[in-house]
Amino acid sequence: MASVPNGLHYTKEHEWVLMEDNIATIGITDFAQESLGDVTYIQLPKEGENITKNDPFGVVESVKAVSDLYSPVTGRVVEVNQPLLEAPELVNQDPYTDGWMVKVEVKDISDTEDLMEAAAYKEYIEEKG
Amino acid sequence: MVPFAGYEMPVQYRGVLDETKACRKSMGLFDVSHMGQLSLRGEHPLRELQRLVTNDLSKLALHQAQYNLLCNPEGGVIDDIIVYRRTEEEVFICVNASNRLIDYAWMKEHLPSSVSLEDQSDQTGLIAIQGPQAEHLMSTLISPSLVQNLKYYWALDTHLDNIPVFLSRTGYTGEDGFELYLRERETEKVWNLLLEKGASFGITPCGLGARDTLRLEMGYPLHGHELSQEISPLQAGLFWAVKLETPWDFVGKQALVRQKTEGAPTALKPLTLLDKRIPRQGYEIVTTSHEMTGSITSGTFSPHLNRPIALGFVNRRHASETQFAVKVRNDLISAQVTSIPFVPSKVKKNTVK
Repeated sequence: MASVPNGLHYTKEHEWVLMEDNIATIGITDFAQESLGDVTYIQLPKEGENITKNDPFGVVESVKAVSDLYSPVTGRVVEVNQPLLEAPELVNQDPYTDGWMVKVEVKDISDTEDLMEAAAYKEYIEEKG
Repeated sequence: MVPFAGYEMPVQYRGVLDETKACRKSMGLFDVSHMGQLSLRGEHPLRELQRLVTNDLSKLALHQAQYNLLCNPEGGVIDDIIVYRRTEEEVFICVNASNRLIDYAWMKEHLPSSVSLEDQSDQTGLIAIQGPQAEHLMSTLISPSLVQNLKYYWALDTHLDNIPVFLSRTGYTGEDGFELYLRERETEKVWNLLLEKGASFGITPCGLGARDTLRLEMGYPLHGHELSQEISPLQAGLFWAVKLETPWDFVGKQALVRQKTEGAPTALKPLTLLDKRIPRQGYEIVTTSHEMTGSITSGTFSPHLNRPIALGFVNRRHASETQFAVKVRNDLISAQVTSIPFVPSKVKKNTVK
């Protein structure tokens, strides 16, 4: 069973967001990494770039497939997980900790209001099987 | 699980890269029961079959197997198959799952009534045991001398735990190993027995993902990718399995002779990429001067080279070039022409080609 920690917000495209004041840390969920299988490549925006809610902001590539990453928030990228770019397998090992992708300074903190909480996301992925 | 040619197949059990590595390090176990099996009996079945295939069946001794191609009159590949001279009376043929009905209809149409063709796919299971420990495991289950004396591309009928099996020293991984044809209803029992007895040898169940990565590391073609009704075996580099100097005719021979003289329009190139992005089927191949020249037919990430590898066709005009680039989304990634196998093969070579 894929792990779904409390305290995070979740998208239908299987990204997670941790909000701390106006800084959003974004990654992909355990369910996502399990479905993708071995991740071999991750493409992320650079520090200072702006990303837009619901738009692709990066790419995650596994042996099986290529998937776009969709931004759950609008804002400016203030930090990129550099070690992850060197070792994409961190996403498989620790999707919620070492596998985080970017930190974004969010324009409007209400961006996360339409996202799912842990219980709702759990239900969502159970339906997907 | 994913649907594949009417079967539910696992893409992976534990992870494609882990399974790929385990097979090369110790041993992989594959359920490939989706593969099709045809049986040909009657008067001179080998001689009759020879009129449909590119390789030289006259070299085939009793109990020997041979890689072969079934071509259409234009020289395109209907299927790539393994032909076994199973007994004096029977020729046994392993075919690709997705081509099985096409192969059967084609052969039925072109073979005389003095031979009879039977599709045994639904009653036949197939398990592959591949890797450096395969011989050790099989030696604990079947007479060790029989197992050890069975050469690459030889096969015979025997028993495993009192279950009749057709044991073949073949595979699709480049490792030493075996393929076991058996009755469908006994497949699960033998699978579980192999898992149990293989545990101390480090046996690992492998899915379709690992199978594809392992075959691609060897540069083996896969029908639907490197081979098709529109692609000739010469384009795919399978010169060794196409015997054009023989006195007999076979379907497609004239077209292949012409193509050999005139040159094929495209050539298959093994490529390694200096990036971590995986080239996938359909991605464009361009020359160093940015001219579009072909496309990728298969690509994966090789855990043994720690980089992506691929096969793809390029235009004959660029066939001698050693550097290309592959268009991955908006980027051009450098690709170096490599020799195959990408990873050294460990099969016990003493086959008759």
